[in-house]
Amino acid sequence: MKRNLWLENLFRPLVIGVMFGCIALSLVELVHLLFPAWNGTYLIVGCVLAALEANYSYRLIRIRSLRGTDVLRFRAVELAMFFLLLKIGGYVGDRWADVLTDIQTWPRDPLAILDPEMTVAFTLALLSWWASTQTVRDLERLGEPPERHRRYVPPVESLTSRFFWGGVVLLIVAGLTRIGIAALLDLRRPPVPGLVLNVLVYFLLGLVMLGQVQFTRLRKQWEAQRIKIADELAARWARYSLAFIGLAALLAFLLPTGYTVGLLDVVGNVLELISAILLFIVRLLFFLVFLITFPMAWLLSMLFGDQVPPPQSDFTLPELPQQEPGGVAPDWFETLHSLLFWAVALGMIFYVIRSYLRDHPELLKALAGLGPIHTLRRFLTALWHRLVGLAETINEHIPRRLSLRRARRKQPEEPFRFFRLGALSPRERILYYYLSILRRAGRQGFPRQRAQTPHEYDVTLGPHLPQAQQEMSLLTQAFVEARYSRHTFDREHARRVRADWQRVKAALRALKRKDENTDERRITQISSEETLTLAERDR
Amino acid sequence: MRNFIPFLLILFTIAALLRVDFFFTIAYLFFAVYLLSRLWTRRTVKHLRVQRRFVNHAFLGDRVTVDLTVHNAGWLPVPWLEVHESLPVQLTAPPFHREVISLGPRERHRFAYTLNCRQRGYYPIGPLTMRTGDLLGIARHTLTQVAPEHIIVYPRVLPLQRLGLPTRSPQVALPARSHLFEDPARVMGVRDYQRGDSPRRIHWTATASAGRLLVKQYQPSIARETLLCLDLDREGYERRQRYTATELAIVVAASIANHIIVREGLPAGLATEAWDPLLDNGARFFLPPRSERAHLMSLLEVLARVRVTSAAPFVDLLRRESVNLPWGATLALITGRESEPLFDTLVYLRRAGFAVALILVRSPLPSAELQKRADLLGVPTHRVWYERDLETWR
Repeated sequence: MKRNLWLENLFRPLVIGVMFGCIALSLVELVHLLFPAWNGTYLIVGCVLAALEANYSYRLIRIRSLRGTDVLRFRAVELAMFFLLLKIGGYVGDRWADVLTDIQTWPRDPLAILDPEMTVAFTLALLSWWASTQTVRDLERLGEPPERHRRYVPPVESLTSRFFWGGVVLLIVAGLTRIGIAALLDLRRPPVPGLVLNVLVYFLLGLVMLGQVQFTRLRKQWEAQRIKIADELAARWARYSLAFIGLAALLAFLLPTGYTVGLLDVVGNVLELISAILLFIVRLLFFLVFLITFPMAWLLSMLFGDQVPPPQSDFTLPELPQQEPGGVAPDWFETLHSLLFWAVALGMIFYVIRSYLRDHPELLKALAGLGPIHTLRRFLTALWHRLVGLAETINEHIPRRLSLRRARRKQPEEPFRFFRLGALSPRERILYYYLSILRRAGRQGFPRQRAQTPHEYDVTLGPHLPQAQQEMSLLTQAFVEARYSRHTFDREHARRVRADWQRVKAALRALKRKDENTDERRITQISSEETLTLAERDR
Repeated sequence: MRNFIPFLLILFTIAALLRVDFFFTIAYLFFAVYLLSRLWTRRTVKHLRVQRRFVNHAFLGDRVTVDLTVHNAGWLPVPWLEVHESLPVQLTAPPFHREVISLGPRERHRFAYTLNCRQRGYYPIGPLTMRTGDLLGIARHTLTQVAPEHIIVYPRVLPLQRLGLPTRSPQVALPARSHLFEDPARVMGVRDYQRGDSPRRIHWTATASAGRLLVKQYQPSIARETLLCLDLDREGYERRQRYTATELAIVVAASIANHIIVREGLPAGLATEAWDPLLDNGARFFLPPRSERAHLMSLLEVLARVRVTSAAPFVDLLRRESVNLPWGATLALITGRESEPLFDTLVYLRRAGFAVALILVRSPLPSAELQKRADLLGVPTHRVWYERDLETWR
């Protein structure tokens, strides 16, 4: 693999050094809080230098191929040098006479060399050196095939874990420095505002480093597989990484960070606001009722004197509850700000958990299998189905009801329009001709059954109108065409149908007359028969 | 990155406990990184378009260039994209094309690679697998696949002389002893005009040249259709020479079909039972005789992709497919070995009124007995085994 010397010799050691320096800075600040007279600047420099040195010493050992005792000797000299430099660093700023006095005590009391300050400083520097060595080792292992043993941790995982745990330590230390150890247990303390620069630098550099680590890992994999890599990939990776982290940082700085009202208080305030609005609406309704009934009550009082009590004239429109100055009413701006904060925070947690569960379906399956969760899930599913069903029913019913209502509202116009045949369109006329025949036939004892199609009805009615059977069929056909087709009808067509209609109408009329005559004849016949019978009886 | 989400939750817990405003910003920073990584990867995958362009029909020995264009149709850049195109080992080595690219917004990247059509066949080009991810290794790598397309490499078509076959007959339009029909397309010669000859038969050019009326004499023929019956049953060829013999048999079939359709302008068809890689199963192919060039191409396409199969007796194929042919049609049987059932079928085909030619694709020459039996049946027999021809393109 082609090695990027700038990256390996400068960028990586520097980034690692600065990141450890950021942690050291917060630690020094915390110690300074406890011992204000202590000057720990040299410790920060020491940690940075230890991190840088760890990088070079690791690579030197690799290049020289040192093994066994050679490595131990090398490391012993390295640590001795650290100790010496830290000891010298500890004297920076002290008076020369004090330094000499201190040195003179060493032969008498060798343990005085390792005073508590030196012990802490050396431990921290050693930690920084050790963590840097591990980091460099992991960086060198990137892209290598995984080792086959149970305790193997991929280098990327190891690197990210180190970064995250370093971040956690940094946040705790920096947080303690900001709030003070005494106020740690006071949960009602106000939030601490302001930017913590070393924390920001640590995390931004860490993200940049993660991007670089990912690139190195993938590149090594691709090269091992002899995949051709585009030349512009490295430059673009760096550019996109910076843009990406910048965008994420911009987004993070735009979101609300603090809250003055707790989550439960926010929920309480929101509920209070909703109830106040509802109350306002109810009172407004009462006020409107009062406005309507007031003139009536006044008139009644005029008519019946004192029997009806006069209405209260001092009834006024209610107002939303106002915040009293200096009172305990919630500050709505603060509530809104806190509401936004909690919405973002809870949304974030929800999204992260959901994504995690989606990425780990086995975990989701195991959770779903738990008794109470299974029951709850079933209950919620059933509830959801009920709600969906209800919504569908409403969705189905409301438009139907509305259309029915609209149809009912339009109904009075229809008879008027149908009587003015000239105002109807040819299609409407054809419909009218057929429907009028239906009404007439129904009145004459040939009603159309609900299940009958027009053609079936034609088959039923036709035989009763032998002189207009063909016209009835034509009229039926015209009706079906007018009712179900989309093509246009001209006036000539409507006129032809009108002729058929008139013939069918005439046939129905003739049938009616015939029926009436038959009835009359039958009545006459019956009455004559009755007369005869009576006459015979009389005889 | 397995520990990213636990870290994010710890971060938020620390921020909530310590109530340092800036720590919430850090938590948001990591959440934004997480969210944007996932969304970015998901969005970029949706906007990736791939186009593969190549000539999907090639002749043996051709070099086909495949143009592969990957287009990022979205406004978000694709930080890295690993492209893996699977290719047939018969056409290229190594059998894949791999590349890692980065695509800017609305950017296109074009790959080109060449396939050496060294062996006939029906080959898949692809599938194309693409892998992408975010810059920090947070979102999971996403795989997308583009379905494969296919290329057909036609079998080699050789002149019949090179295969040792006669260029006229016996495969096509066999001369019939009984003059039932005459083929007006096959002028045999001229003779003097006799009373009763149709004026349409007068050869005006020859008449003008000779100074007397001459009429054309046509070659008598029964039917002009030829069906190439190709044996691709495993048992039809000797085990040691099976691959060579079957490949050569396919070349023979392709060459004869080309000769009949292109040179003679006569119809030729194909009947075979073989393994079809398109169906990934055994298949029966029957292409009825036609004389169009397009038909020749479809015939070559079938010959390009067929492979040896088992449990597909050649004699069954002959008996089954001969019923689709008109009386007097020619059957050119291409197989690797003679057998008693094959001779029975030859007798059956001759009795059914077909002209039959037997082409044996094998190393040894036909025995005298075989030749004698075939002559008795009136079946011309040929042997094809040009190893050197195969060596040139294998």
